[in-house]
Amino acid sequence: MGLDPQFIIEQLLNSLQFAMLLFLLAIGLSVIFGLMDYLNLAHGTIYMLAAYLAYSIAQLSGSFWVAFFLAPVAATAIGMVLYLVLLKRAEMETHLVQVLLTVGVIYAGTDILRHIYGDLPKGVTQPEFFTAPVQIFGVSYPSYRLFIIGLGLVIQIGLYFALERTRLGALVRAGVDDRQTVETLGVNIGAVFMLVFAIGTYLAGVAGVVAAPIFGVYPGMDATIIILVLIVVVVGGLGSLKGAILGSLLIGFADTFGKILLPQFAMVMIYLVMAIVLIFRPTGLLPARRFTGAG
Amino acid sequence: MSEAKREALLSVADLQTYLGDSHIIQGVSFEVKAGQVLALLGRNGAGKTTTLRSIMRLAPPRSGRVVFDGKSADGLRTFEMARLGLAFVQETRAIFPSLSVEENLAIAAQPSSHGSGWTLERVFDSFPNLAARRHNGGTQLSGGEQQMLAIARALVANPKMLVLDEPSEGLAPLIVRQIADLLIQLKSDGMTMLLVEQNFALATEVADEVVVLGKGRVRWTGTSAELRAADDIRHTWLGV
Repeated sequence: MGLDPQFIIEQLLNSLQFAMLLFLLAIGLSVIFGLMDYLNLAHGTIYMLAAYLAYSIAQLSGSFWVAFFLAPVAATAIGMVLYLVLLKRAEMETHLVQVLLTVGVIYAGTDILRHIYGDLPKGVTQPEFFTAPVQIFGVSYPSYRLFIIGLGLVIQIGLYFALERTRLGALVRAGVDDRQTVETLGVNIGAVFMLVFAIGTYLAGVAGVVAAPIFGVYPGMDATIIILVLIVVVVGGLGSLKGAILGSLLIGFADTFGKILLPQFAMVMIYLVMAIVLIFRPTGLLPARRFTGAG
Repeated sequence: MSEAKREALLSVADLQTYLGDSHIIQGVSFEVKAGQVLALLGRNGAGKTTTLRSIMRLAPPRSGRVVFDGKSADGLRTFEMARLGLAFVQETRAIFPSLSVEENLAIAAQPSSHGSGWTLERVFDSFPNLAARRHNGGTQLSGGEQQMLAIARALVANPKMLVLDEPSEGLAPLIVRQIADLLIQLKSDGMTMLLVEQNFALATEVADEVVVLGKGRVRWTGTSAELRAADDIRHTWLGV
């Protein structure tokens, strides 16, 4: 293993690319918690579901792009049915009830998908447009991974403007501060939450689709990543876009470089980052204001 | 228009509210007529805030009837009460720290049903302090400015009635005077108000009628002038 500059650049880009995937999952989890104190561990199940849907749609249509556009929408539709029929019931319950319910959804979701697709991993072919590597910073880098980085950036910028410059965004920030008071202003915060839940679910679906060609599609792929996503949310701070971005970058880099520098202790690296952050910032690096209080 | 002919905009009948196992409101009834200012007075723990929270359905009552503008509050959610035309200024002011002054107002703004309503422009004309800080974070304001913002945020919803929970609490005398002047101005504009206050002088100056609460029940009802004369009531239930 050489630690030459080219290798480092490549790994930096890999870190960034993985950070974008983590971000797409973390932002939904974080804002859903920030707005309604809902701990939705089944968020990863949507990621896995979208990956499987992408596999099926790509098989049927022969096109990654059809899957890219359809699978997250289909996963969101299923996610919303799940929310309205099941998850909504735990809205006013404790976090423990929510964890038990959504862990149940993880198990059920994994078994249902395993029943349909079997135990063996499925592959989704990268889109043809992004098969050739590109030259960047003097290294030859897979263009598909660059696409993921670019997509993540576009989504982050889009979310920033949506949150900071639109009425809905202001309602979401206000709701994270104090949702009862938002209601006293005549706003149906439940409807705002449903919309945020749908957007978060959609982004988890996008993550599942773009991850499929890199990591493959297999039962339990949700559990692998949701742990990291929870760490991202804790490190970044609850309920905030900036926190989700910073947290996903930190954990993306810690995961990638941990695997290179200390292959036997890759996970230790991540927990080390989390421990150091939490010692100095018990509420995470950039939480929404409601979570900055006595930590 | 004589008092008797005016219709009750808000009527509360035999309100019973529990917080957990505690029976906080034990059969409170009163009416607020259109254009009238009614003050709810009482000591700490008399049930004033809980009465307001029951009306807004933030602490839904176990029984009793709340009718606002001819519509029953039964089964309604808080945002639906607000949409009927009730604007609630909470004791904590509840300014959103993550929003600028302008955003705090903008998310509450509703078009007026009649011509001369409250808009953001009118708020910034009437409250120069808020105009100067329109892009500041909501909680970078002083206590008095936060109270002005909380009242302004209620006004831009162009409600039929303002519900105010201790607007003078914790403010310097000069600011309390400004709040009193503002409320008197709003009253002369015809705004209906339900006002909870610990500041006896302010409440009786602004209000037409007073309901005195004690231990979750109505202990006395009358006009501000009558309450000033009713020494025993003031001593027993208000401590002033």
